[in-house]
Amino acid sequence: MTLPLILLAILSLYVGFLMKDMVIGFGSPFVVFGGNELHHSIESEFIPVWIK
Amino acid sequence: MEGPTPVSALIHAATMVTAGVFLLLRTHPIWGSSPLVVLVIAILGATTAFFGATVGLVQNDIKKVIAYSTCSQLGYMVFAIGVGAYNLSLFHLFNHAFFKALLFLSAGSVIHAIIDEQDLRKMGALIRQQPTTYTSILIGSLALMGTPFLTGFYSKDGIIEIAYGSYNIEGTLGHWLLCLSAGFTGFYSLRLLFAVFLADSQGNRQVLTLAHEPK
Repeated sequence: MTLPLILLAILSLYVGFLMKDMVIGFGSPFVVFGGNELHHSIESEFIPVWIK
Repeated sequence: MEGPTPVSALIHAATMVTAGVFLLLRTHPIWGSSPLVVLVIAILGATTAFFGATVGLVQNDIKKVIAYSTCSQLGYMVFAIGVGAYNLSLFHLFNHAFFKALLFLSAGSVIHAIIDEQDLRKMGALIRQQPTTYTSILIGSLALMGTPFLTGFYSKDGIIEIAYGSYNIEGTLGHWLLCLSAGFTGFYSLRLLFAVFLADSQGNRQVLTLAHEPK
């Protein structure tokens, strides 16, 4: 039982960082079922600093 | 959506409840060009996230707390679909699968250790008996809360930023509701952690002394 817990704990720590550039990275060719979110993802880079 | 804990881990993290989100993602060419449907999806997602988080605050069953947090995170994903961020929604689904599976398996470990007791009010002081489980729930909760540089942060923060960055009524509504939900998420995750591991024990002394990590 300890082994899956440790495995999932390590993945929970690092998966977001490791996959970020691939899945939501700017200019990444990874597109979900032909969706287009380029507009919003660029827009959200320019929101006020105190909101970020 | 009830079952033995490993089954909960499977259905909440990967297969059953997230299937709706996947269906929405998969069918977006059908409804994606209808502004009304998109608006309804965004509002539904944001209110679900808020509702799930507020219900999760007041549950006393350890599995129900985690289940309502799943409900809340599904709201985040549906909202992301509603504002057109399909990649981000899939990313949150993917990340959520990892830390929610971790949380459910750890909860199973706790429930098993104190002889099938699920009530948070009858737990406490398990940190000595179950250090590995405590660490797992701590890591899972921190990832769920969106602690910077952990898994949940990258997708949740992205969804909240996109909510603000869409500059329309559902985006602003979503931004407020999701920020509040993120706060509630932090509260009920820490409440669970304190009630199970750090608070004084409210349970049977004999059960507590025999509690141990599952073999």
